[in-house]
Amino acid sequence: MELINIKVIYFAVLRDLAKKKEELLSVDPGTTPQSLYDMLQEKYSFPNQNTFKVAINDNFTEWNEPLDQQDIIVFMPPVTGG
Amino acid sequence: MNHFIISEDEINIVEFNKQFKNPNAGAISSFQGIVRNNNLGKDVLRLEYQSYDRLAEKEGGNIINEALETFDIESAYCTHRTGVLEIGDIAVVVIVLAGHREDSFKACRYIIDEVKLRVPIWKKEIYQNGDSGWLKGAG
Repeated sequence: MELINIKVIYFAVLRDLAKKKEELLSVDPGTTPQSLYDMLQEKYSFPNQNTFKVAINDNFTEWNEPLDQQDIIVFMPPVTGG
Repeated sequence: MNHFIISEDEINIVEFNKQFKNPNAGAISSFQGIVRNNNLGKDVLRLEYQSYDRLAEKEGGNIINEALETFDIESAYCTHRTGVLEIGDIAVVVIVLAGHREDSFKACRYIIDEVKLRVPIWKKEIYQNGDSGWLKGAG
């Protein structure tokens, strides 16, 4: 099966832990933000994502949404602007 | 112009306010969020803000539109800084123009409250003792 090529952009604590702003990844078909985060959590010791939100291509989305080719994924810790 | 803007540039409040004039507005309410030198008992040296700019401007625009639909106001604008900010710098500013004061106050409060809850911006505190950390947020 053809792998899905995606980009992940990191912010805040995730950028510090991953030590990079973004990266290109090739993942299995059927990968969701949840399964992607689980893999990255293992790789970079990311915190639990219970209170996080996720966006695909600049839209808030669900954790079980299957990823497509060229998707851009952003995991968002609770926001602290202001 | 966009009504919600993320910017690395310093906010000059006088110049910011000059942009907004409306002959129907008898009231202007504004809010400024300022970098202060302490939080939760720690001495803060400076702040660093990161933003997911595209989604932040989209969600911020949604909040402005909600305020326009909910309150009897003429217009509303918000700018939020990113990058490294020093004590006393303006981190965020909201300005609302309305016919009368009551809804200008209410809309201004609504906008800053929702921005703090929903817009993907993150704040890192750098402390006097050399430590630093991203704030946890409300979750």
